[in-house]
Amino acid sequence: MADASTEAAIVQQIRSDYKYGFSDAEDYVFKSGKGLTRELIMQISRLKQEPEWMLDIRLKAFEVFKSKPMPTWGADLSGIDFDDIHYYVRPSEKAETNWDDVPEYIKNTFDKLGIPEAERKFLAGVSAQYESEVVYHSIREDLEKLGVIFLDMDGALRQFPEIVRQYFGTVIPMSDNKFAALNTAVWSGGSFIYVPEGVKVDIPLQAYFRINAQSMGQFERTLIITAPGSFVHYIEGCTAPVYSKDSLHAAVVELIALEGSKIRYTTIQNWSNNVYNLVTKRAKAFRNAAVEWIDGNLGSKITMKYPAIFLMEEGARGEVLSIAFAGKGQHQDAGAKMVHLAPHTSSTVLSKSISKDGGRASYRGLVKVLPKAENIRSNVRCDALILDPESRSDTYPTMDIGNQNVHIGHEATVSKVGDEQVFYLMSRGLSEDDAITMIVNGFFEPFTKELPLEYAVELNRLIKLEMEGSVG
Amino acid sequence: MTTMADDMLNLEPASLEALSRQLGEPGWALEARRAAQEAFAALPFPERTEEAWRRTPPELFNPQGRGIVRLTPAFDLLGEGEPEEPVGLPFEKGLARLGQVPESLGPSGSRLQEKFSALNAAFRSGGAWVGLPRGRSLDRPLQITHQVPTIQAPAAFFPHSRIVGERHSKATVVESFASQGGDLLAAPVVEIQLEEGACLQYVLVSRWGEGTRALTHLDVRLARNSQLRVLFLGVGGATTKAFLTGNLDGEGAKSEFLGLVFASGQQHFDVDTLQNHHVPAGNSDVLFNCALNESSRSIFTGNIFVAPGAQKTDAYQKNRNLLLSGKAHADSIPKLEILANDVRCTHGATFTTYDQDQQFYLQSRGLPDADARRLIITGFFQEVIERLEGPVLVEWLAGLMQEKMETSLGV
Amino acid sequence: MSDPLLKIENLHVAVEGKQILRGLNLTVRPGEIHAIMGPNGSGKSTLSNALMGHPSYLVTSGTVTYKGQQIQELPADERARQGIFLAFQYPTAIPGVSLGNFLLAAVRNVRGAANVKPLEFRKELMACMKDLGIRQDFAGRYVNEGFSGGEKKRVEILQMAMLRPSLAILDETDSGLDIDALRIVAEGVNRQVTPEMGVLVITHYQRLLDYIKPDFVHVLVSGRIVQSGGPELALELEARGYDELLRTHGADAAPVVAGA
Repeated sequence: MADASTEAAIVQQIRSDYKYGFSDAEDYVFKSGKGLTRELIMQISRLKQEPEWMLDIRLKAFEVFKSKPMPTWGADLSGIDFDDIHYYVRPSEKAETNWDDVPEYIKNTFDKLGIPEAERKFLAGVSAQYESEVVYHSIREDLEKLGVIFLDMDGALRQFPEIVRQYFGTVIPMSDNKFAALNTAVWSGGSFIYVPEGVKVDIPLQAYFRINAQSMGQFERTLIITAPGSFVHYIEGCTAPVYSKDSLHAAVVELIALEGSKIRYTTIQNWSNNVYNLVTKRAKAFRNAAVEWIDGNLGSKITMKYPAIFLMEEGARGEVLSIAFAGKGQHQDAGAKMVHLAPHTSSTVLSKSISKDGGRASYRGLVKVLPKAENIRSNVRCDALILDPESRSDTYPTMDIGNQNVHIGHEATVSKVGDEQVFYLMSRGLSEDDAITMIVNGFFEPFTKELPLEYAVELNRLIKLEMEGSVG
Repeated sequence: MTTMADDMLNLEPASLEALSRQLGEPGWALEARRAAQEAFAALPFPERTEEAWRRTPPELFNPQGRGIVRLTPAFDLLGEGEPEEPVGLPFEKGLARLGQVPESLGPSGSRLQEKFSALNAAFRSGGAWVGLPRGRSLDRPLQITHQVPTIQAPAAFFPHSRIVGERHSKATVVESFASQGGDLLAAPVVEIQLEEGACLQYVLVSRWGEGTRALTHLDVRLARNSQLRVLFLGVGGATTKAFLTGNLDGEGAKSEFLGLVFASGQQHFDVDTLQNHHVPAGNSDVLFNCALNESSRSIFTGNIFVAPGAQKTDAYQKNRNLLLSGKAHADSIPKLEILANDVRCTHGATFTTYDQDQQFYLQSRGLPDADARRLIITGFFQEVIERLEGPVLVEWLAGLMQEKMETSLGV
Repeated sequence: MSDPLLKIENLHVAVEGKQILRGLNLTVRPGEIHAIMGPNGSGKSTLSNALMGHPSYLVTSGTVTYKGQQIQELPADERARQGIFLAFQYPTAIPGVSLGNFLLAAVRNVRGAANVKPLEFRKELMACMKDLGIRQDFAGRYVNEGFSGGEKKRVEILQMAMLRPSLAILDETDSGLDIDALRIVAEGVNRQVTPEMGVLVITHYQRLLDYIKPDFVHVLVSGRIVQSGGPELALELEARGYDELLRTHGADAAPVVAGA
């Protein structure tokens, strides 16, 4: 633990609203006007010099996007104006592999966000996306030699078109939902990872996403494939400036864990409170493979995100561990989906949420067992704390069970911070504020302890900031 | 008991008058039927895309082209004891005695806001009226039976029952809905209103025949410090959709909703429960156990809603599903919508098959496989049944479940 | 005689509108160990919670003076910082918060952050844990979560050792302990007692007093102290039981004023 005086100084330094709320002047290579047209999609594809088949996919997806109504369930999306969004902004010509080649103002931004520093300290590879494009990516040489591919998605499409073509959209079809269709039509950036057979990437790869422009739409597309027996841990973080106008982030993330491999995908979502965060994340886990979504939702105006795992073959395991912090004006509608398609598959979900200052946190989940999927174990647990009478918490789980030989449990609890816990801590000299913050940190601990230390420390600090002045 | 499946009566406005006349109702009652019929006509038919109808197609309950069954319920008392007059009347007699329509059936009443309740209010063709006088305790459970005999042509039955527990009254009421053969659409509405300090156990037995589709509404209003224990017992019928709602209107009210569903064959049960905590210091407790045999299906949707300001709410909800066959299918959707913070709200759901440890234990004591299974199922129901008070009632319910077990398991 | 460390005068305390303490008087001077004994429901736990400032325990009249200052209005954390410690009868679990982190935060608050160096803190904690027979891995376990009854009580005494209070209140610390654990806990307490410190031992049974020798014994019945004496009183009560006292001093009996 840092010395109290320095900690207070740090808190003071970053507390002015939202730590990442600064913005840069725009100096872009290309910035589309507002709104989305067929012509713009063709232009994006041309600028990226894409193969014809990708343009076909984009145009088909655009039709699907137009044909699908806005979802009427979940959070209120009526504030989104699709005609008031910049769909494609290209800040620089290409993704650099040398940090020094990244444009100066972008470098400064990422310096402020601590990105290259983190890379030196504890990462095996870094990708940094600014607006629509990845501006920098790197991977440790020894991993590259082992055949690990870590590229921006556009780079992957140029260098490994066959692999991309084989897997793109196979986990999340464009017709899955309106925002998946939108992403498929206008996607840009995102990460592509391929880990060859037997290779275990023991330290995390990280991507960092930054929205800078006002009324920006960011539509990154990520695809991770782990070959049999391999392992990768991927971490993503995201921030944006504070503007009065809303931005849209609609990513699609597809994971494919082949036999006996494991993917851990960690997200620390800390968008500013003017970002609609509507993300489709889904994994397929094959024989004896494991997928873990570690999903932290702190920021955004509205988040709708339900990381899913399709357990395709025997022995596959899925885990979602998520936290949500809904503060003033925020609606975190997050959850998990587990679809058991094969026998002897198992899943666990642990969801923890806090709502405060009128915020609303909702858990929405699905556990589905298909008739032929025997011997299934699934356990879901949702805990919610509501910190004041103005805030709201919902739990909307669905269990759809078509097989008899199952062991499935779901539990959810909503309560306030326990009076006895507060008194116990106060009787040991902690102020009420500190006591509640400590209880809240403890409440999130099952999540925090799964993060690399640097992230855990940062998360605890963010929670402390969010919690300040919560008493009286 | 008198029954009429009258071919002349159908869902045309003209039938309202005939029904009202046959039941000897005053003019204002007919006016209320007409208003309800208009409300019914104006309300849209539910669609499959609506959350409540996603798993049971609403078209199954289309009433068009059916005659109307008119039926007077039978009243008696469960168990041994002095013969005494049960407190209960046919609905229309109670209505006449009250001299006006209850608020829920009035022009802006809650019953006229929902398609099938409005239909019931317009074409009401049976039902019971029970008033439990202030301070009165009934020693023996009151039993109300609606038994629809075999019908030849497609018909519909619209009973409406109303139970009012006046201040500090205490009673147990068992209401059974049953039918014989034939294509029947049954859409009962039950309204229960408990005044301050009243205490009621209410058992709704759904033992419809094989050709019956049942759409049941149970709506309860609980005043301050009143206590209600409901048991929904679903054993019969082809398709059942039920909406069971508890409204905790007064502080200190306690609402306990229990459910037992034992489905077999192709039976389909889809039950929605809702506990509305409108005021502080309410207590609700839901325990719903579903056992599914053969190709049957059950859906349990439970919601706990805590309104802003309803502090000190204590709410619990549990749904257990016992899957007895590889072809059975169960859904559970236990929801929480909490808009107050000083609360304790919990829900849980489980899906299991026969517990192999239990089964092994019983077999190791010499029980054949079938007996072991039967005991395990009995235990699964017992968890719910033993929540009820009164040995006569508990025994009666256990017998009922046993009967269903014998016919559906053949053990 | 030295100034009193704690002076309770005519203390009335209500819980959820129900009057539990009805005019309790007690004086504790530095170096003294007082035992409060009484049957179930006599108000023993109410006294300990009220002294620590539990918000549900409402002081309806009377005063609590600690080191010359009235403290009945102070919140619990302020009392802790002034040197009052309560070893809880039922310590609460705080999931996700490790014992080590929790104690560091507590010790920093009570002793002042500047006076606590992490390395020294750790050394001290390990030494105290060893003394009380608590395994080192407990520092990483979550506060009271999944602890056995005996482990909880030992960890309470560990906290007392780390916070070094001037006034320690031990609420039914012997309950849930087997005879070996009881000895370890009592020895831990005895090691910590200094001539400046006051101790209130609240207990139903005499057993604990074989190990922690009181200077004074008080009997609490229906929210009042009805009898006071030396250590021999505890033995007497053990032999006689509380029935007779309940008959004479039960809720409806006339008050008997007794003081130390």
